[in-house]
Amino acid sequence: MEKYNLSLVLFTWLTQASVGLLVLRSIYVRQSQNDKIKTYITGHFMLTSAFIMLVAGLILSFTHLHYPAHAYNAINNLGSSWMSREILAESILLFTVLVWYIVNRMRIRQIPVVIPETIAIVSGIVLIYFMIRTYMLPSIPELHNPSFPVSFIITPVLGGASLVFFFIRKKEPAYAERFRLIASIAFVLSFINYLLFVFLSNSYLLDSPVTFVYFAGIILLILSYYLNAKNKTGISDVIFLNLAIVCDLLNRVLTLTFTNPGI
Amino acid sequence: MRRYGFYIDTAHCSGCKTCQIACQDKNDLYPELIWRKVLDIEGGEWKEDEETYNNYPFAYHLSISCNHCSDPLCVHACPTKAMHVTDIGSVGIDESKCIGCGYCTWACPYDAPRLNKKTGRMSKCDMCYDKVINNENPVCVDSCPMRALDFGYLDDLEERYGDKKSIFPLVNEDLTGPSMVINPHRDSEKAGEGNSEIANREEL
Repeated sequence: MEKYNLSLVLFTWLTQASVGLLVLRSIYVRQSQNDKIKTYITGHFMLTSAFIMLVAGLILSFTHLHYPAHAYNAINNLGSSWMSREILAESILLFTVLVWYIVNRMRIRQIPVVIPETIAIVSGIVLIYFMIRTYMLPSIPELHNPSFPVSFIITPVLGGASLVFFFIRKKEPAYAERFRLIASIAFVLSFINYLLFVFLSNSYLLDSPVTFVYFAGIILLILSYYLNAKNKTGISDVIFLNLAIVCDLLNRVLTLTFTNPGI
Repeated sequence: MRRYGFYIDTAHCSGCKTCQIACQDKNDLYPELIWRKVLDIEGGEWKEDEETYNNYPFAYHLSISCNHCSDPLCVHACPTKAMHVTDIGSVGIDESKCIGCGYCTWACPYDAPRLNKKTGRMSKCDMCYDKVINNENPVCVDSCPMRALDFGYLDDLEERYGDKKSIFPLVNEDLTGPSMVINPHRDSEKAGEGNSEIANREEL
C-alpha cells in the first residue's frame, strides 16, 4: 500500500527549495557587486518566486486532506505531534514571507526589511527540522535511517542554489558560478545519499529509473564543467541543473512513496 | 486503570475471517473498509534429504486489528487530537476533529487506522466500546468459531496465556506496547527467519 501522497511529496520539495532560495537570496543581495537597483530587482524576483513556491506547496498539501473543512484543528496537538508543529511553522513562514514581500515591494521604511527576513529564514530552518521529524517515523524503518533527514537538508541547498543561478547567470556570470558550484556539490551529495538510501532499505531499488536519471545527471555535470573550462558556455549548465532538480525530486518521490508495505 | 486487551491464538486460527465479517457487519463498514483483518502467512523451504529434495511448507493466520496500545503512536502523531485514549483505555477517533490526513496510518505500525471514503475521516476498531461498557465481549471475539480470540483485562490474559505480543510480521512490542497476547503458531519463529510472506496482501 502506498502510504504517501504525491501532492505531499511535492509540498515537501517546493517548501524546502523555497527556504533554500530565501537563505541564498539573502547572501546574494548582500554580496553582489552589481548595481544596487538591479540587485534589488533580482532579489525581489527571487522573493516572489519563493512566495509562489510556498503557496503552491500549501495548496498541494491541502489536496491530500479528505476533510479539509476541519483543517483549523491541525495545530491542536502541538504538545506531541510533529505534524502540528510543522503546520504551525509553515504558517509562520508563509505569513512572514508575505510581510517581507510587502515591505520589500512597497519599500516601507518604518519596518526594517531585515526583521521579516530574519524571522522567515529562522522559521524556514525550523520548519525543515519539523518536516524531518514528521516523516522520520519509527513505524517505517526505511525512513528511520540517517539518509532520510540528509535528503531534507540537501534539497534546500540544491534547489535554492540552482534557482539563484538561473536568476543571475546572465547578469552576473562570474558570481553565478559560485551558486553553480554549490548546486553541483549538493547534487553529488544527493546522488551519494540516494545510493545510501537504496542500500539501507532494499538493494533491489538500484535498478529503478531514478538511478539512470542520476547517472545522466552526473554525465551532464562533468560535461558542463568541461565545456566551461573550454570557455564554451552555453545552456549545458541550465540543462544540468534542471536535471539535478529532477533527480532530487524523483529521489524524494521514491523515498516517500516507497515504504515497507507493512501489514 | 486496568487495561483491556485481546488474546489471539494463531495456533488455532483457521483463517475463516468470521471475525473480520462480524466486525464489518456490526460497524456497517463497506466491503473494502476492514478494521479487523486476517493475515495469511505462508512460507517454507526446500531441503536436501540424502538424494532427494523435500519441501517443508508452513502457513498460519493472524487476526489483527487496532491493539489499543499503551503508548499509541497514532495518538501522539495525530495533529488534531481526533485520535485519543478513551475512558476505558481504548484508542478512539473523534470525527468532529478529524481532517482525514492519514498521518495516524503512517504512524501506526499495525496499519490499523483506515480512511473511510464515505465520510472522508479516519476510522478504526473502537474495541466495541458500546459492548465493553456493558461488560460484553467485542463482536469479533464472540463470533470466532474456533475460539481463537479472547478478550478481557490484559493482566488476566497475560496470566492465563503468557505475555508474547509479537510474531512475524508484527513489529517489536516495545515500540507501542500493544494490549494483546499471542499464542504463537509453532512455525512463527521459522517465519521470522525469512522465506515467508503475507500471502493475502490484496485483501488487506
